[in-house]
Amino acid sequence: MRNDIAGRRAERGWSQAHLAEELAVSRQTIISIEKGRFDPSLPLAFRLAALFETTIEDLFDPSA
Amino acid sequence: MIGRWTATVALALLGAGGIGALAGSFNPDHFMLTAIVFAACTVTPLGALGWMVFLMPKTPESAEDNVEHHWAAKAAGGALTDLVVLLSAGLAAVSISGIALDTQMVLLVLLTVAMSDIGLRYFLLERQAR
Repeated sequence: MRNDIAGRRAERGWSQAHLAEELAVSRQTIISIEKGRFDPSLPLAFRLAALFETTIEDLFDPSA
Repeated sequence: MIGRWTATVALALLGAGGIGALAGSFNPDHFMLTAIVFAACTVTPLGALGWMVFLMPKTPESAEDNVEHHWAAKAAGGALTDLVVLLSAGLAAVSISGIALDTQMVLLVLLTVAMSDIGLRYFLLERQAR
């Protein structure tokens, strides 16, 4: 699923490792989500949205 | 922590000793040799089991959110399908030909195939993600 997590992360100056630590997941998980190769679980999607102070709908594009 | 290490070592030694004695009891002519071989072969896996039970850090609640968990589940599911196909084909071949196979060898082959299949599938999924 397409998303703009990489862009939002870059805006904040966060590394993938930092984001992974914030979400208590592996760095490979962040890489796979950013590339759209892994759809996060609903709890993780909520944690991502909360971290970026936005909604899941804004973060992910289900049509892509 | 010392108590946990003691439990780990005790599980490994007592478990291996028990398995060795059990194996030896099935082969009374060479009890000591059988018991020592089985105890020596099982002490390391039982030590690893003890480490997992008593010493391994607890899995975090978010472990299932990781892509590695997803890969492992996918690899295990694919390997199960492969095993069912292999067992079906093998059963058909054995039934038609009437060949009698050694049970220990069959189980060893199945275990090796299953573990290799899971490892290979996990490796390929990891490669695809890069």
